[in-house]
Amino acid sequence: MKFLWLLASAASACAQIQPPQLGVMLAPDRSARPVYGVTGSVTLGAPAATGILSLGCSKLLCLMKTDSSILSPSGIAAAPKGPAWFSFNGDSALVYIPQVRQLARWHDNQLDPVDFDVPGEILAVRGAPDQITFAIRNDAGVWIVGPGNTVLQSLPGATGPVLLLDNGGVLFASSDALILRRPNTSDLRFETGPVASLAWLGEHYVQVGVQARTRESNYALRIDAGHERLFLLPEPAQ
Amino acid sequence: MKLASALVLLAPLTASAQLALFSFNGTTETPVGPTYNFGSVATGSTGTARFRAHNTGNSPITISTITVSGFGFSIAAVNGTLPYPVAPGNFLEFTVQLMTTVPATYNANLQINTISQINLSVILLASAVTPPQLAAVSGCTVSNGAFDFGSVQVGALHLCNFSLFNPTGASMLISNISLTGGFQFQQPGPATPLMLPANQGTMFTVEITPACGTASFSGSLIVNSQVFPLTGGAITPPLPKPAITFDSASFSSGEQHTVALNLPSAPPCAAAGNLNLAFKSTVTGVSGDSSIVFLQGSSPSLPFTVAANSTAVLIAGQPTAMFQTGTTAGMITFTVTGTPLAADPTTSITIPPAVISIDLSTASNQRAGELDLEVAGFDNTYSAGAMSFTFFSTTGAQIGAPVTADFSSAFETYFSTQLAGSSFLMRVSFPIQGNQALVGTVQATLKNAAGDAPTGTLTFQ
Repeated sequence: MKFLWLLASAASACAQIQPPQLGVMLAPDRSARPVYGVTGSVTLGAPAATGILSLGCSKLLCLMKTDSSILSPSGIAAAPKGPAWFSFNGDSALVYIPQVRQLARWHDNQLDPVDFDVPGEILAVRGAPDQITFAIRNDAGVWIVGPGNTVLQSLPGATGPVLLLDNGGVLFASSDALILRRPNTSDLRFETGPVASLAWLGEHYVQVGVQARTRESNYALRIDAGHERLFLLPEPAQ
Repeated sequence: MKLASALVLLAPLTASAQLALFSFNGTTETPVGPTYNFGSVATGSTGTARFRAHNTGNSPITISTITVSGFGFSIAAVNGTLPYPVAPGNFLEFTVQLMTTVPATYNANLQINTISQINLSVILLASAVTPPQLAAVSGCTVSNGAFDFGSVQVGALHLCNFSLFNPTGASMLISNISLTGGFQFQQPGPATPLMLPANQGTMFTVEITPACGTASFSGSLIVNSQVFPLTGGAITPPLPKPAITFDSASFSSGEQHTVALNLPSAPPCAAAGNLNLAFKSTVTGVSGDSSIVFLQGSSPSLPFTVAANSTAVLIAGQPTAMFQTGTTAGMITFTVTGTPLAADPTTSITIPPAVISIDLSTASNQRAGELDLEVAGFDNTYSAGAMSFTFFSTTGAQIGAPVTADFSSAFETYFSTQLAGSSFLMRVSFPIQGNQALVGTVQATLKNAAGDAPTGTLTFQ
């Protein structure tokens, strides 16, 4: 071998071992709870925050919306009332607050307003501020539109929440199921019942809130390709 | 034995100035004339009659004495202490009792006196007759003066056959046969009025179906004026042995499954209890795994209910309950508690030891001088540590021999602090000199007591 690499021997390799964390979930009691474990076998940690309306977490950032502010592990910023949808991009995020129809960019623990001109009800956002993609609902259905309101895709049968995925895919809910659409438009369908909410639980996981009759259940959907799996999240212990 | 006031003679109201006597059957007052007839009282039994002495005047009176003179009669109770003042419009209630011993005609004088000499007297009449003889033929026994139906399962029908016999040499009129307390006649019941010929009898059947939630039942069988107590005990049957069933026949760590309770037959009564799971580790030194719970409430126990006459069991309100198998090898045992069961339904499932399950693995060359691997997974044998890493260049050529490592000590230390199973996130860093961008991929193999688990090819990014 001509390479000059000097790979470490076993003696010089070091290992750090810790509990794996899938992300943070919004519990029914409006607390944010870390989710530990592996796919299909998880436990909940103690509440990291309470009074949370919505939250989203990526590998690098976790944002929680209270009634009047947005919390991150390192800071807090005032924000309009109501829940928010999040889309992460490295250590920054797009934040959309549907109640006041405001879009902003979160970075360095501050919110900078972002102008946009998109008609219809905005269901989800994705991307950098200069190249934002929206999922919108109007009289004609649910659409994914890019800059300049260019229609990128329609989502027939989408009646519930939508989440735009980083890889160009989309997660959306029909009346009785959850559909994971890959960028190549192949679909994976999960028979969840009526989906009420979708939120980023962690880098590879989406929290899926399902409202069936009088009972609310929260699932986690692993979304990385080849590992897709839906499993039930525990309820906090009484 | 209380007599119906229907036999009161239709006579002028017995009154003395402002004192008037009424019979009272518990709901209705009936004016009493110069005589009051108890009617026929079965020989050997006791008859009672309630009376009310009313002050019908405009000024108070004080009743000083109430007496009854006549064989077998007595004042059984006075609702007040004599002398007893009675305001205008008010009354004093008292009870007269007649105990008969032989068939005969009985009479007595009932005397009510006041301190103002406003007195009142009534002749009491009664006749003691030989009563019909009631006997249990089958289905119940006589115990402590009552017909005892024994222990009867709730929701189940129990019958007792009776005979009613006229022991006299003359015909006997049975004007009334009735039941109280939830007892019923099996149809067709006895028709009344019934004339029993001399030394003849009739038969009828009384049935009872004890209701859920009762421990005993009682009532009366009334023949003419005779009251025969009916009693029995109610037994709630245990819940039929439920089958504890799962959505799968085999189980592994890191899974979620549903469990259900299935009853072979519908219980007559509603029931409630708890479905519990308990985990016993087969890994030496590991006592439990707190991730092995029902997901609802993160609890090892959930309440269940079953409605009467239904086989549907609801666990915490749902037809099934979901649980996690955790990340430790062992046995999960499901039990049912909180309600009597016909048989023990305890069921266990085995979580076998398995090779390390790799949930997530990545390779990174973003730190200068380091190649980093992250592996998240679990080791349900808690024996992880030995592993090997084979590096490949960006052209696909293997770089040197596989690097072996033993992180057993690090894993042992980590596992000793964990209560929620064996899941782990391992970060391994390899120092490197040279152009680390030329290292393209790595294949890692993690070993435990059950075997080897390869990560597959991880691309450095």
